[in-house]
Amino acid sequence: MESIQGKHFSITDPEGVNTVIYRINKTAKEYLAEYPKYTVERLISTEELKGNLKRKTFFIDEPDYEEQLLFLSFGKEKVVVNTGIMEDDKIKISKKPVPIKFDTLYFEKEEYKEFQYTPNLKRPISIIDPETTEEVKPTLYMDEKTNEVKGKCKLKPYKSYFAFEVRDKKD
Amino acid sequence: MNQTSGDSKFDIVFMSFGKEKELGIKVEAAGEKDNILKENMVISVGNAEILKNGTIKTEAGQVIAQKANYAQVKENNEKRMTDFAIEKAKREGKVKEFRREVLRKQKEDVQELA
Repeated sequence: MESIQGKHFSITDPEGVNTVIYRINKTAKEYLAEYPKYTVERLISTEELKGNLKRKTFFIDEPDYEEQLLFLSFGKEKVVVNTGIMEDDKIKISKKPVPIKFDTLYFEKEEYKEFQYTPNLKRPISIIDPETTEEVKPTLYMDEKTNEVKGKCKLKPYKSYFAFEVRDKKD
Repeated sequence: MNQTSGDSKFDIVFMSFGKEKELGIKVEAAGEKDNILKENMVISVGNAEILKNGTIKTEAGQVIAQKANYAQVKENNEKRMTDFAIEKAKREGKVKEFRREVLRKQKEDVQELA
């Protein structure tokens, strides 16, 4: 049967916490003209209940020699961010708390809001509903006024969302 | 967030969309102190494969998950444009197929605009 090789690992979320994990891919030089320098992919996972706790098993296909991982642990009213590096048979979680750049935006209207999340396809931004931890998928469209490809997401008012973007340091 | 491992120097920028007149979801950078993954500062990793039917099996043949999203894994695998993916295509003599796949993705992106 068709298959893809990879690696697996498991974590157990504390009660009321839901962890999702992303791998951060650095785009090869030859594609940098058309694509973002970094892209993120959410790892697939399955979960089983062990008492009140959820044990989640993640699968990462064909990992590089070293994979940069981003752990987002969603709890009530907050998300805790960890980074880790997967090498061979282990993932080391960064022990050093690091400063984060962080902004909060507000919705004031009751109707759905179109959020232009990217001025072109070179800014991959992931938007997550913290209640479900599901990603809010954008739709692409051409802005004829600026002649640019843009993305938009419909976000509900009076509701929290979480978004992140991986940027080159110089940006 | 500044991540400075090897030559991968990048920032991760977080945004939170808040409820009116309230802060959005709070973001905390973890680490050794107050770490939600404290019990897992080093996580063991094992070899596995995912089958088309969604089963994930360990190297020893133990089934550790079922109904996993194989289609999503395959799609991401084919779209990945890292040096590692190119190296792999070269090793397998599939560079042409790899480039064709990248072109296909570009076309897909354009079609999404329609």
